[in-house]
Amino acid sequence: MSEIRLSVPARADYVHVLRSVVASVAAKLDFSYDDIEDLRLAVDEACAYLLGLREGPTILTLSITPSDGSVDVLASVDGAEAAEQAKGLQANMIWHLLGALTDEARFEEQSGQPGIRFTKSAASASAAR
Amino acid sequence: MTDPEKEIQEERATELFAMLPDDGAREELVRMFFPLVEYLSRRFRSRGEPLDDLVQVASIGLLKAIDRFELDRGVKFSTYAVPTIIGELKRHFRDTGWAMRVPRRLQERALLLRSVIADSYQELGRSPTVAEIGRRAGLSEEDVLEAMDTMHAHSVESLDAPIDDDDNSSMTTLGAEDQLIEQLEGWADVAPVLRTLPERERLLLYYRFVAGMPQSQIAEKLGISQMHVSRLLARTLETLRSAVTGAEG
Repeated sequence: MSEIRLSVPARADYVHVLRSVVASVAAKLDFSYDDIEDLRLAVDEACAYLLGLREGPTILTLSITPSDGSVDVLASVDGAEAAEQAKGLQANMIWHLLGALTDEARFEEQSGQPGIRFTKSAASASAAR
Repeated sequence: MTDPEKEIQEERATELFAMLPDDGAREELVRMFFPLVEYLSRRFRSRGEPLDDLVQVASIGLLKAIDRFELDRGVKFSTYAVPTIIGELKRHFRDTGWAMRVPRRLQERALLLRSVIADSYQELGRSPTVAEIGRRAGLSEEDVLEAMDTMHAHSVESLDAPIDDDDNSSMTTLGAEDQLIEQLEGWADVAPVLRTLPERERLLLYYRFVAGMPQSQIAEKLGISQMHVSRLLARTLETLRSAVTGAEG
């Protein structure tokens, strides 16, 4: 399975780089314009959420695993545990949004780093084949 | 340099610099080195600004270079002038926020794509793929993606412009629907924030996240381009996010 792994400084103004890469991977998989736009928003949301989770995060990492007609994305961030974790309001929002934008989204912690994994398949493209 | 013409020019330049701040000498120097201005301006052309504007900015750089140049430093004027002119051009792009403005080529492309996407949607009855958009627009997939990035980073059309004057009726009848958002799980918490959003934005959220409509369909329903929907959604979510974070923090 080919994985694309990309790290950027953990700052909101670098998220667009991740967004573009995901969009371009999805385009190669024949995702529809609609689905690509959803993926972009999902990357935005996941990254913004993760950046709010940690105190002084330095690296935001995105692992993209494309497979036949679907893409799996894991966003994760380093940094110390924030004193006041973003939950409640924000947590409710993020899952609701990601739920609508992707097929499946969940929280995932790997070696102490919080992450969000989501999967989306190219629904409309496969339907058109 | 053994080019005799260049040598003559350099000698003349040295003479002229010695004559400064004489206006006549200055003018002749500007004329003499103007090709440098044109050359460097052209190098920045790909950033989408009209060449005339760039030449103007670069000319200011040349004037600064002329005024600051010191003969006794032993460097050629052109050696000194190039970084000064480039610096001026760069500053221009930075000050005018070129990064925030859409280079013309990309703007045209984004506008072309806007109609291509809408047409494809009509024809296919579903959202087109990037490859399909590219084929129709006569662009490579790469170009389509670049244009998509552009329209996310820049405002091709004003986000605050009213959606559609004739469609106000549907807006008001649907006004009740968007109020439903507040009552839904996951959204109830952000109700106070939702209430601060303009009706159109609430409606967008409702369509996309409650009714589950894809962006292309929302675009059709509201009579705006899908790019517009996409940017509005991104902006609305950002507003929501910062409001929520602010409320918690």
